[in-house]
Amino acid sequence: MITLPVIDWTIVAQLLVVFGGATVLLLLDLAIPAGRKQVTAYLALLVVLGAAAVGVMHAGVSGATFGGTLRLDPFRTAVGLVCLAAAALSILLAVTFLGRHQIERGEFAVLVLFGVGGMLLLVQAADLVVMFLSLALLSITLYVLAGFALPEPRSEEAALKYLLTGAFATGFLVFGIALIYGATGSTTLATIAAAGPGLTGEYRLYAAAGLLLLVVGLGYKASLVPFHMWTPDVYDGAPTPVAAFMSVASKAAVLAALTHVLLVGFGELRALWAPILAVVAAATLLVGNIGALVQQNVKRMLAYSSIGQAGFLLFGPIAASDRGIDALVFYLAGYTAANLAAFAVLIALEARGETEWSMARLSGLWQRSPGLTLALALALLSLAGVPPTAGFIAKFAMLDAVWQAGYPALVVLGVVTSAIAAAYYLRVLLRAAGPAETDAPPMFGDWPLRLGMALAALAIVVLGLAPGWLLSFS
Amino acid sequence: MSDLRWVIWLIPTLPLLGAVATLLLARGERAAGMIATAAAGLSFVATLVAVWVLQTMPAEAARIESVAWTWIDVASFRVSFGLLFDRLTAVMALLITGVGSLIHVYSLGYMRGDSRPERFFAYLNLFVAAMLLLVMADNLVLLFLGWEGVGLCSFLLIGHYFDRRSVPPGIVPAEAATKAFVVNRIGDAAFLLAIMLIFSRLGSVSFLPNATLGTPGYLERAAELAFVDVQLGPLGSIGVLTAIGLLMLIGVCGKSAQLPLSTWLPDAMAGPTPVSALIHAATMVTAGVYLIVRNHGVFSAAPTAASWVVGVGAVTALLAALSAATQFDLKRVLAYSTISQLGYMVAAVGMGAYAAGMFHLLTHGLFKALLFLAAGALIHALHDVQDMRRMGGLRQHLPFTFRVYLVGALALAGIFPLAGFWSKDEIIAHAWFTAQNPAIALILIASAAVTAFYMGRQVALIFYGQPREAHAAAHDPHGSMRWPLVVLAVGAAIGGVLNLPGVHWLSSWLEPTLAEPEAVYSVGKAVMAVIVTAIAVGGGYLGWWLYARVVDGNIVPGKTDPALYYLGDIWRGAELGWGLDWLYDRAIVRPYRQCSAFLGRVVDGEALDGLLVGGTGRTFVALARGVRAVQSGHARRGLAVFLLGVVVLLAALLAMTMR
Amino acid sequence: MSMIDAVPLSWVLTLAAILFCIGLFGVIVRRSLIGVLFGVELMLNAVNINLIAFWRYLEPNLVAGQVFALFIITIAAAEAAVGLAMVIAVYRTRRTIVADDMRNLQG
Repeated sequence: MITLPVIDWTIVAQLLVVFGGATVLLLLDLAIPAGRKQVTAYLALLVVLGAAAVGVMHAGVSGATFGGTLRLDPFRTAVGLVCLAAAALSILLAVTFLGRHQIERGEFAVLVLFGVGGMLLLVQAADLVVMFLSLALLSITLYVLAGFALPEPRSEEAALKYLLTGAFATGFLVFGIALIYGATGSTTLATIAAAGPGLTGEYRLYAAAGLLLLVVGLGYKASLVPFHMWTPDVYDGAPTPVAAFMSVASKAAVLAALTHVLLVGFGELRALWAPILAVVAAATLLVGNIGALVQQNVKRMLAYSSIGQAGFLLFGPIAASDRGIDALVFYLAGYTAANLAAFAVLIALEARGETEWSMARLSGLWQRSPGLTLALALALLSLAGVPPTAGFIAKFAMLDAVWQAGYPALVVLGVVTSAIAAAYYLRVLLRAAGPAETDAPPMFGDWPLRLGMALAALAIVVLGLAPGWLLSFS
Repeated sequence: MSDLRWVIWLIPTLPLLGAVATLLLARGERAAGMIATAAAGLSFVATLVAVWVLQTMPAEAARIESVAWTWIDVASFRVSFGLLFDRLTAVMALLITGVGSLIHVYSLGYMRGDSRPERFFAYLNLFVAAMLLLVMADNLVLLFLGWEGVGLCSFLLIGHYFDRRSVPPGIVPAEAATKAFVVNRIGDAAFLLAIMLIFSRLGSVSFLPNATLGTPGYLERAAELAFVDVQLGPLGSIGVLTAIGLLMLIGVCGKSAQLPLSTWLPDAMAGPTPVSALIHAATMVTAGVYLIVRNHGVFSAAPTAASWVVGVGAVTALLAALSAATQFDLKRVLAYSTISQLGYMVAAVGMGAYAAGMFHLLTHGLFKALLFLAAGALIHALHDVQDMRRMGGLRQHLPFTFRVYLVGALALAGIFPLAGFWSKDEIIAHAWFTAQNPAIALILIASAAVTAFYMGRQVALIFYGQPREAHAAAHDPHGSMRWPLVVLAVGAAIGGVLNLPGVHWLSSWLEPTLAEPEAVYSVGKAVMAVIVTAIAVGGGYLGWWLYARVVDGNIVPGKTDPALYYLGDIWRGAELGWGLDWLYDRAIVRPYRQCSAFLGRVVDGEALDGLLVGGTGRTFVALARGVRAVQSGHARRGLAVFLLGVVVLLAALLAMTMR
Repeated sequence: MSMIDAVPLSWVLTLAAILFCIGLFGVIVRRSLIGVLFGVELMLNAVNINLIAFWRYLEPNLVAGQVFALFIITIAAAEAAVGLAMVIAVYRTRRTIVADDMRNLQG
């Protein structure tokens, strides 16, 4: 007799909605005629909103299920909602983009749903195997999404590079999990944590090495240095809504997972991993912010910028405190809003057949569309950390957490790189406010795009002015 | 009727709103002038109402206090944004709003055709608001806010003609404005130190106990510190109250143009004449005197500081009067005269004759404003001629101007029965009889003689003798420039009635606030008054006679005063303000400018901008190019870097675990 | 004698490590995309050996190790499928499967 384990449905409800919706939609898509694929997108949006609703409904739930491998708590719920918000906004941004660029295939929405499902699973995982599974799901959907614009060569190349690096990293990831399993005898975080104090000698070494490889495997997805080389190419080549989605959602999920692994599973080894992560964060900050300085391609610049932001995000796990967790959630929310707003502006200005997204296309934007410029300004200012946007509060909270944790050098580096970052963010704004250098490129202002942009911009402002409710929930 | 106590808030707020409204809304000189003058006039009405409310209150508690909010609240340092309207404040406020309104009206006519009327009227209103805040503040910090405010407005207004390279007699308006501000700053710094000292020793900066803040007042408790010393390390020690008094004195020297910080006032004549009348005769410069009177508790308990005050005031009175006698620019005479009369007031309050000092402040406000406005009428009539060597014999052409000017001159010289006689002689009498200080009294009497002399000289040079230049279109002022002169002339004539000996309206009005014993009148004082008046009449006649009759023919535009031949270098020295300007220029201004130029060019331009800022930028861009070069686009390169990273991190981890 | 006594764990782990490194080498050095994918497969399967070894030697009672190895096989297959599909797509447009020839995106 097989006894089914007891499943706490309130915990898996959100996942069920997403995966169930995705599967149903995949089948429904067969029935939708070729010219009306937008319907799939709107249905996917409904699924996402439904999942978000479920998440909010179960917001106070805390517990584990599936033998302790899946867990829910306020942090996980919050990050899950951020991922869902990112997915919803990305669908809104992509709905008309796909049609314009003649890549309107129903699979887009389905892939996004599976992707976000993978993210939710990753966030809620409390077991390394589940993490691996969800990471693989999330990665593969993103590989396909990156190459969605095929047969365009740039998109294909982006997808291929993404896949190669991803597969490579997966190798390290599983090696690490294997080592951890060998050292502690389990892959569940709680059990690993319990076994932690008892590890001595070479078992400790295996566990530490395994942890490092695990971090490598996760960190590459978050664009940490030196695993970041795919980021500029993939963001540049992938279709812009996909780049937007990737830049925010996968980072959010991965960082949440990283936080759990480090803080819950391996809090014992903190003296080992904290300095190494500090060095990685420092390198990420430097490479990301300095690399963006000479970029003429806006999408690449945003890619490097997101590498820099990843460095800041890593401060959360490094700080290893409640403050750090709060700051991490807030930063993710603010960063999601800002990046999506910035990419939305790019989408509004992108016509079919453009290869390089050069900065000159943004010049003179102020005269042509003050609304777009305002959104762009809010986004870039938030990324730079200028008050009263969300980014400022986020950076401040992060720096405060890291300072309290005793890493003054990181704080200084964070501030210095923010200053460097301001250079390239503001340069874009200056170009936008200056005279137009090219003939006016087309501007697309259909309502889903506008709605998405407006929501993102609004979030930047609201979070910047009233951060309290999001900053203190842990 | 205590219901009207809120009126005191209208008094400074109305001109402030007027300033804002003029700046933002007014277009054109008519609108600007109307708004500003209305604001000033309404403020005067509000003051009258407030005075009326005040006078219904019993003498001991004759004050209106009102706190709007707590401005600063840090540890034990609490400062309120509140107003104190007591009898002393009332006197000052009446002068400021009354004379201020008259000058606003006068400006409507005088500033016709100006290129920036909105700014002028707005700043004028702003000045009145700041000055009112100064006299109505209920604590030193708020007073300082007004103090700085009037300094700022003075700067703005002196520099009203900033686009002119030079203004007679050869002053650059922008430089004069800067000079006024900088010299004032020195005084302000000392004043600020005094405030800090008061707070640190007495625990509060509010004049009176403040219920809203819960702070005690410091004025009544100042005497507690009478024997407490401040240790200055190797420099010995000094009494706290003496230190406070001296620091305040420096502040007063800056604001009220006493020696050695008096050099800015003659140059401040580069501003429009109404500005000279309002700021540099009637109000701003009297802020210093008000400060000392308000802090009489400190000064009466610090005799050393008080004696310094008297000394500075008396010496300034004499030296400035001598300088006034040598000037050939119409307004500079009046400027030096103001410095000299301020010296009288400062000496008076230094000796403890607070009511006499305030009396002179009021009368001086009236007749000096009259003189300046009449001088403005002159300048207007002669189309911007200010050099007295180009005037002469204008008695027939400008009879009205002549008459009002004469009233002002006689009042200033202290001729019976005009206002100046009463106030000046009160001070001299106090010096001789009450303070028992014959040296000071003699200095003051000498100054009175010189004062009369230079006024006689001025009247002679302008209105008597041969017309040295033909002024065809010269005519008396009319319209809005005319009747403020009439009002002020009446005030200068009968102003003595404010504090007649025996009746003493002003002294008894101020007595509850100042706690000063009433002056007693004796025969000795009457004799003294007669003697001083005789000296003044003599001096005045001498001045007039010399310049209207004796040297009349020798006065040529461009040539120096004939008296130079007789008095030589003394005359030269007096004319140049006793060398203070020269000293400041050589010792301070030039080295400072050279240092600034060096720092600007070398340190800022080359080092900071070039090396640091530019260099940092270039370094980072180079690094960025490096990062970009690594990103060659080869898929496998990315993988290789990845592997390298893993190896390095693993090695680091191994090293850490091995330890 | 069972395998566990005959072959020490460290030998198995070393074998797995060697395979992993061979796979690593393959990924970095091979010019053809298919070769790179082979290398990845080798890496993943080396890890599988590791897992099974750990399971068998250390925790034979729990099935976590076996299950995980099964998962890895599945995911490796999925990735390989997607990867090969991409290689085909690239070949259709560029007629090459040499990794270095894809350099449109750089800098």
